[in-house]
Amino acid sequence: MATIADLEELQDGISASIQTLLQAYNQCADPVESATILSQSQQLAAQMSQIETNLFHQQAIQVGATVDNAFASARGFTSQLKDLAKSLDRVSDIITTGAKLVGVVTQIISVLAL
Amino acid sequence: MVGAITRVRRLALRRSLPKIGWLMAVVWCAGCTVVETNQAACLQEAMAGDHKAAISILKRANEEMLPYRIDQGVAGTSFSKDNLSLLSPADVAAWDKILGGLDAYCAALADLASGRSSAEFTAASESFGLNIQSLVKTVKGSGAPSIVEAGTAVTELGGILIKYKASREIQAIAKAADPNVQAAIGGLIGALGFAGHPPERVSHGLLATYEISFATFNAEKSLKRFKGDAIAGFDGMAPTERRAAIREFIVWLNAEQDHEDFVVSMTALAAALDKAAAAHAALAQGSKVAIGTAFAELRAEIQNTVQIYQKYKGR
Repeated sequence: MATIADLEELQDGISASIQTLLQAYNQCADPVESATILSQSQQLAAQMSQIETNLFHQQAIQVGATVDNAFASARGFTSQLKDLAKSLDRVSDIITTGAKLVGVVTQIISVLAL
Repeated sequence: MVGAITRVRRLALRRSLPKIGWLMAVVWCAGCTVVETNQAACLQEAMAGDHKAAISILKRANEEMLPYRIDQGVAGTSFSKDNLSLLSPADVAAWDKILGGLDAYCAALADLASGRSSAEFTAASESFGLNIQSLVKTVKGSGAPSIVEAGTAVTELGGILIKYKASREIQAIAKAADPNVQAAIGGLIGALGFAGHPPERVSHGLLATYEISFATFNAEKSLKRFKGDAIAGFDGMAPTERRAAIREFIVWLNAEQDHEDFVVSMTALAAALDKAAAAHAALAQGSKVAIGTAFAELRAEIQNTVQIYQKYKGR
């Protein structure tokens, strides 16, 4: 069971990760990397918005082991992205971690009630 | 002769001293618990304003998010009515009813404080009961646990009004009702994306979601094209490009201002709701000093919520 607190924590993590991505986007001069980072931040914002619909409804969700693991992975990736805010020149690391975070949040979104 | 008169006066004074003491004690106690008519009316006015402002903000949040929902939808594989709204219309309708219940409760308190007849208070209580019937239906339709919890808290206010109406004691009613009032108002403040007293923004919830969507979907403008509120590369543009860039820049500045106004309005609404909860808690507590402070702060907030409603109603 993912509780309301789990969903709030996930939103907190996504919110901090997006801040890192936007800081990297701000500094990045490469057009391809910039476009990738921007797209990732928008995908995460869209996912945060889907979580908010559920959160405003305050609906806890029944989850299986796969989604439980996705929550754990999301915590790891948001933590990594938070650390990467200190070294924004590591753009490829940011992009790789950002892509992984989008992937695990997609798994979580798939079981949301709304 | 003079000495005899003085003795008589002293004796009379000594006899009246206990009575003066009782009178002072009565006045002091009344000062502790008295709820003035204008305070109950102020709470009613504040709650009615908070109600209208809150619903206009929730509806506006859906409108503000619509462009981003469309962008998000384009990237998806299907699109339905649910994709259009950030907040489910059933949830917004349920909060409307819950706040309507709080309005009716405050109106009944104001009727009681105004010293109107018992029949008028009974009518106000009955009207509360009617409001609650539709509230229960709507809340069941929403089915969200927090909304059901807030709805239940407001529904119980009806029972408290009926229970205490014979005594006509506002403080007793407020004391019994306070946990329910705090639960309902606190639930909405949390849903807006704030926590604590005074309410502080948190990085989850409605406001955080709105902020993140605005920041990411406008990042190209805010961080590149119009970074630092100036047009990047303006010097190298041809005159026609410059004109087009300036027009776009103006549109962007307006969008940025609208965004900031909306954030300020949500923050002001959370503060106003918190002040209304604090004023009710002070009524329940019954201390004249606490009531005075809480209501002075509440009065200062009323104008803010009126402005929020005026700004976002039916836009």
